[in-house]
Amino acid sequence: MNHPLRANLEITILDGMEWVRCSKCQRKHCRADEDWRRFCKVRLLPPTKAGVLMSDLNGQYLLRQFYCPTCAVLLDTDFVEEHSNDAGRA
Amino acid sequence: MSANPISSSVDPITFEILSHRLYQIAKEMGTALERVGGTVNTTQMHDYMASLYLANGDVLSAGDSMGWHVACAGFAVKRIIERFENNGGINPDDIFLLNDPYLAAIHQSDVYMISPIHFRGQLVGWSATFVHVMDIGAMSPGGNSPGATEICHEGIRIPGIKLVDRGELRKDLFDAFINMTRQPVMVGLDLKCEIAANNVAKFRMQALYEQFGPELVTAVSQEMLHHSEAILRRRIAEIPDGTWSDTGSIHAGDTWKVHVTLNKKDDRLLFDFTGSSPQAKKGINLPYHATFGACYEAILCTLAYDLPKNHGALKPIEVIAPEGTVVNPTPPAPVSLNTTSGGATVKFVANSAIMQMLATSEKWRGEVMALNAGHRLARHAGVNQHGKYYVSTLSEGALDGTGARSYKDGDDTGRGLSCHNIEWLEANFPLLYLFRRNTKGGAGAGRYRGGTGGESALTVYDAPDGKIKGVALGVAGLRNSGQGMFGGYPGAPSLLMLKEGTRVAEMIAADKSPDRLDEVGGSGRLLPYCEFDVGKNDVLYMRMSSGGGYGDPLEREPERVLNDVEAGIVSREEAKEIYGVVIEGDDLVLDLAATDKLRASHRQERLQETK
Repeated sequence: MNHPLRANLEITILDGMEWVRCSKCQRKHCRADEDWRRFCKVRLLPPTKAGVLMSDLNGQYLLRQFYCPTCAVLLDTDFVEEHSNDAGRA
Repeated sequence: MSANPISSSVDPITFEILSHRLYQIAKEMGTALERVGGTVNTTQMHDYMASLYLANGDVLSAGDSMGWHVACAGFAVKRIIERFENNGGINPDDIFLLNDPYLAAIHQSDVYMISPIHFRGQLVGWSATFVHVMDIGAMSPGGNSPGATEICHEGIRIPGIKLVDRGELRKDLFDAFINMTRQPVMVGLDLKCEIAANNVAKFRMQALYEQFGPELVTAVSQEMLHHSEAILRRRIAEIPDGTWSDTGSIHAGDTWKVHVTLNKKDDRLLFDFTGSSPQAKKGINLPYHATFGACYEAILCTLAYDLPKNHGALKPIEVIAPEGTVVNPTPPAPVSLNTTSGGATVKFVANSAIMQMLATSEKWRGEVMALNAGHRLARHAGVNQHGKYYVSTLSEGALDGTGARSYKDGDDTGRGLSCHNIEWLEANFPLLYLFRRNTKGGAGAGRYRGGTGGESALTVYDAPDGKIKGVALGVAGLRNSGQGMFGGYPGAPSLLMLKEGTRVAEMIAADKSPDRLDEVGGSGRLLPYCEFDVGKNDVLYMRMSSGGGYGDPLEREPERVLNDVEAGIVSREEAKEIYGVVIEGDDLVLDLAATDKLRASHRQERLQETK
């Protein structure tokens, strides 16, 4: 039985296992106990890509976005400190 | 716990009538606070709480006031019972005062007044109020003290006194309290509006008991608690079990983390704040009862938004907050800045975990919204144009934009408390507003966008001393706008900026009204938690946070983007770059074919990773 995980992601049971799946294109991303973000396309962008009023964050943060690798729907957006390990992970 | 929300012999119509009566009594208490009070905090911002309690201190009914104070005042009632039941007694017409943050209050400025309600000589319940008094004798005017490193720097701290003894105001204690503040008259008015509100509760509750009898009122009261608990447990049980977490940060020189893990199992919710930073020598710390109350409020705003606010809605919740951390400090850690720093961050992460949880439920996912941790504001003090010393509040934090929901854009302004009236402020204090309006270009993008938020600028005008003092507070740090949800972009952050050495006085003298910050010149600096002076050549600029968006901006209806461009909320360039919407010509015509093509191109770009 499927249930939603968040917008554009769902949990589905296939072959007796729970999987995270894109609800747009049905791509199976990973097992439900794994971090689905690790299986996304990721972009790191200047903060002002979110609007001109983000300019105060320049040099401190990057805008990070996670996309479905197949249909490119945007799944998550956050800010990450520019020099943190998270930014390097991308 | 029975799954049936109505379980007793009380008939449903009587239940509805009496439960609404109890709600209205709490609401009327709030009206009394506003009508009798005189400060901006009470009469315009609605920074108060008024509610009713059972004889044991459990929450019975709250009006529309802040949920975390409703929970904290429950702790306050219990502390008063412990202190006085065998020491001085709890008598009809007594009223007690408590503002100790290590017992029940959130910070000292939030002064609780607690009154027993007797019927025919028997204690049948309690009423409680708080208002954020205008001064509390702390280091900084207004009570929020950025320089405090321990609670003894933060003003009067009272674990419980009987301020009204069998209906007689103890003037010795009253005068002692108000004389320890910078503004005795206004603080005295604050205290008296609380006494008035508690008297309203007493008279109305006694009339209710007289009309319906103690047995029926008691039965309905118990039924109300059962009703809220049963429905809330049923709703929680409808959601898949799981664990969700989030971390927020507070920047005040150093950075402190607030981390929560929400564990949902069957019909219970456990908020575990293990992993949060050690307590700070800065007033951002949030005592345990306030951390608990913040989680309660998060539930009241989501799963229990339509349920009566009472102790029943507390029962499915458990909160773990390790001692010695920013979410459960021990004395002498300071707390005066906490409601809009530690408190706002706890509410933010608790709500974030709840939103992630709701998103996994087919039934509840529609309630998800993007969150905002902003809320910056300032106190101000000095000698006014009438020659009197004053302390007051710039409550611009109420102009934060709200986050988008799963089905609609966020509200442009209006998060949390209410904002003061500018004409009233200028008539009473030596300040002149240059503008107050919705912010352009800040709303977090998404399938649904966040609220714009508001921006204001003011200067000093007709001040006998040529300047006033300000105190900057709130969630300092440039990520305070929170987050977008499920791909939605964060909104622009809230900030306070002081522009010094400007031409504003000269322009006003020449009858020019500056409309933009760059018109006035001077140099700007962002204000963290600090005291600052505003002189006649300075401009204080306050930009409130914009709400985060919900979902992928490439899925936003092009017509909505066009509307935002027409309203100046989104620029034409942002429409193209963020939303993939092409708008042509001076008369703003939507080109749907070009939009489809541009969106396809954006999707291709997304698949090219950057490192």
